[in-house]
Amino acid sequence: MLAVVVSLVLSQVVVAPGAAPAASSAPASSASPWGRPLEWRQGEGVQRVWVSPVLVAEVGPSLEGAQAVKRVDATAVVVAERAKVRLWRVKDAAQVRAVLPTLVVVVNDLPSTGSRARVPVGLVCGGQRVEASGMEAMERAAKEPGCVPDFWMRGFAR
Amino acid sequence: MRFLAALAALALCAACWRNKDPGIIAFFTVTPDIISAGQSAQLSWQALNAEGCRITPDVGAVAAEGSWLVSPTKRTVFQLSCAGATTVRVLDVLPEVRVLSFTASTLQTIPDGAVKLTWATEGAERCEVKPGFEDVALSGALDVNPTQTTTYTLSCTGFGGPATAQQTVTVVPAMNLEVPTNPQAVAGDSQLTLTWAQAVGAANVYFAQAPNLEAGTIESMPGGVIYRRVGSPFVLTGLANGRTYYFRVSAVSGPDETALSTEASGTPAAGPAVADPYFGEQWHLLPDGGEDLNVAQSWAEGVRGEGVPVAIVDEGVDLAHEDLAPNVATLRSYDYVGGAPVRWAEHGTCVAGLVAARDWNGKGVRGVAPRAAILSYNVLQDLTSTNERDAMVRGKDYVQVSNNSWGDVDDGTGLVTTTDSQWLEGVREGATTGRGGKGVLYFWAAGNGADSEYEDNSNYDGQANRRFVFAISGYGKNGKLAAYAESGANVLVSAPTEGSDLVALTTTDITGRAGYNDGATLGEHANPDYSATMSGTSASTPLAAGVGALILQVRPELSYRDVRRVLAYSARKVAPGEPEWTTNGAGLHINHRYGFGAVDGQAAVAIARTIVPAGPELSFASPVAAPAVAIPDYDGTGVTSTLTLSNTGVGHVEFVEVLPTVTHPRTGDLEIVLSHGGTLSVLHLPHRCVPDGVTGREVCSDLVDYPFGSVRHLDEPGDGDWTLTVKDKGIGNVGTLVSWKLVLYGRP
Repeated sequence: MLAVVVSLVLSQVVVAPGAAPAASSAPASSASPWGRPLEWRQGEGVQRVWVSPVLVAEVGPSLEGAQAVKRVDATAVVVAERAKVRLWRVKDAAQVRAVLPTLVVVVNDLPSTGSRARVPVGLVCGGQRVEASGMEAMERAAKEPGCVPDFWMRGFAR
Repeated sequence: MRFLAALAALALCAACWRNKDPGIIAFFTVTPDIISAGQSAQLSWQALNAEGCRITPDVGAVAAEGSWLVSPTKRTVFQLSCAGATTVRVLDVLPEVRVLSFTASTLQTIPDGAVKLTWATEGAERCEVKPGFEDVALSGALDVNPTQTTTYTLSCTGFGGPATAQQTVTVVPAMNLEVPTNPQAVAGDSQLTLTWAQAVGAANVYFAQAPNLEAGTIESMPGGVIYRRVGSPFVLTGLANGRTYYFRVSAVSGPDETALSTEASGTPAAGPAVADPYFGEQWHLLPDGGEDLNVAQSWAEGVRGEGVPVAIVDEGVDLAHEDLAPNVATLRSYDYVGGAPVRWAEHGTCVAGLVAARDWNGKGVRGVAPRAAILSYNVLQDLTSTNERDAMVRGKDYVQVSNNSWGDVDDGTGLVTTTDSQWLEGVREGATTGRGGKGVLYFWAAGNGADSEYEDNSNYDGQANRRFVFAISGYGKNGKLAAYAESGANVLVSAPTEGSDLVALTTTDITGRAGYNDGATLGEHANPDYSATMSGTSASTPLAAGVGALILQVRPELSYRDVRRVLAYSARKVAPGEPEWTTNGAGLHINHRYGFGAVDGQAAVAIARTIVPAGPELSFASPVAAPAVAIPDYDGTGVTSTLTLSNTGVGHVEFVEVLPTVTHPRTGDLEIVLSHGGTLSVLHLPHRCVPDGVTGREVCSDLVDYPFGSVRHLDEPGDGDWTLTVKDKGIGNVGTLVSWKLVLYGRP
């Protein structure tokens, strides 16, 4: 049953028409847990990110939310936390999101945990912020010209 | 037979031992050893060679083995005594959290009427007042101006549980709202205390640097601003001494507002000068302290950033800090989470002190621009694309300098990171339309990842790499580059920080023990409000930003592009024995590690006084070169492609963007260099790539039209040959230089 749910979630990942694995980064094979990239146009270029297989985001973190994540994956650990977002590293992000659909996808700039991780918490269309998050934001950014994801990211003091 | 004899002997011996030897306590435990008031803990024990035991206090005589529940109301030391043996266990009792009082100065008011909430608690670790205040003192007071009937809830938590209390303030319609009278401004050192007489409601203060204020035009006047819904007295700090400010005031209550009062004015004046006790440690400011900023002479001439607003874009700033408060621009800061507690603000507080800690106030330290006005944008507490943009443009006609000792990517990965589109729109807007079109000065930390195993480079940072910002690197007291400070063709200048000689910077820390300095750390001050450990390009950047404030004090009409030239031309060739110093086509000394050199305050101010503003920016986008040539593997020559440009119109280059597209399975093998008239801009260097934590594979960056930035060709002509060289210095992969193009920015 769980496997069915996971495959449903994975099937919702948007792949822009013509999207291909990264040219110069190590390509993600079909067996890669990183899947295929999501794309959207930004200015004259195409932006590309990969859904993290190991990170999920709790938007509006709470004690109850943390307990729920721990119940689904006892090995889950918090890797970043701010007032409005908490990032969890889990064994299988898709599985955890399937059980807890309020959790939001995390995307990486490259198919690598070492690359920048961002959380689509909204959408910006023509300079106006639009309420949409997670895969909905990514889908709409891919389809609607002039729309880009509004990402949450962890800032790094230097 | 021998077994039975041995058993009998053992029984005899045990009896003998019990009778003659002292008791032995096998164990004595208390579980748990910390409880809240009202909870119980269990004492458990076992004693050998004892008929019985005694536990004090409260328990009394007990068997030699057993357990007992206890519920003390305070910390208790339990003693177990058994036939001469004694041991103790401690049970800590956390205090119950209690709200001792929570009152409102009035339970009925009009819309926007002033109400003071006052409370006292005990046993609490944290309190909040809702609606509106996430983190308040455990016992204290605050002013509220409800616009409608509001129930305020004080909620406190602590180890001893939660506690709450409520007060409802009923709001009734206003009657007889009248124009305030008798406005007065009492001058202080960099501040004005505004007072007026008002019967009911709150007030809107209309404030500007010119007379004849009118409500409709206030925000187009010099320094014009409306401080909304405040009360008398109203203290404005962060003002320029010697400058006259004007104000009028209206009464407001809900949607109603009266006409403006008569106008009053005041002129802040310097107070008595008292030395700052930790100034002697601030080697970065002292003329004989090492490779300092050389600001003493400018200060002596009165150039101290007087009234120049500097936004500290960071995690937050302790705006009430004793050495920052006099310079805080009243009500100009913005809190991106609403009620962010000051304990989150240690980094930003250290940064703010380096820019503009108050001088000659008998407290702590000094900033580079010790009379600049500070405001805090704590965007790192909620760093979204839209907030990044907001932090770049918020108050863009008021803010003159924006300090950014942060990045939205982790340093040290060596990955080329694309620029967030919203942030880019923000800095573009701020640089081109902010400050009345002259552009906000964005100072940006170059990064701290140079000494990571992936050899990070500032050119890979999608923010520090951009033309709208000034990328700042850092060197130590001995002038040598800090090993962690990132190089890059984008690095404009460098400034002091902690280097390999491990001499960090002394600056402000958040008030109390919650910051970097808890007052008990070796090498730190006993006064926890200051820290001697600030380091990183986070530290060098605000020092350069402070010099930016000095520059704008003497020449506020300079554009951000002019200031970039001022900083480059005034930079000092620091550590001349260091490798790679060379001279560009305009005769400026340059170094990928130091940029044009060390920031020099006095030289910068001197050049700022005389530099001719550049006028409108020109740009020239080259045609796309599409060589589509294979890059030979592990080859010292590589491939080159040249764009020969003519009639660019850019007689003096100020910034270059180079956008190569290279397909290569492992871009970490590549060296990419732009050359023009003998000046080299090293854009990308071979380095390891970060392994993916899931698959274990190394993953390198894509290089598709990434706009590598370079300041190194400053004031060189745009026309001529621009050559891109790409070398593969790794073994085992081949790729292709598909295409590349240039965009030149500058002036005729």
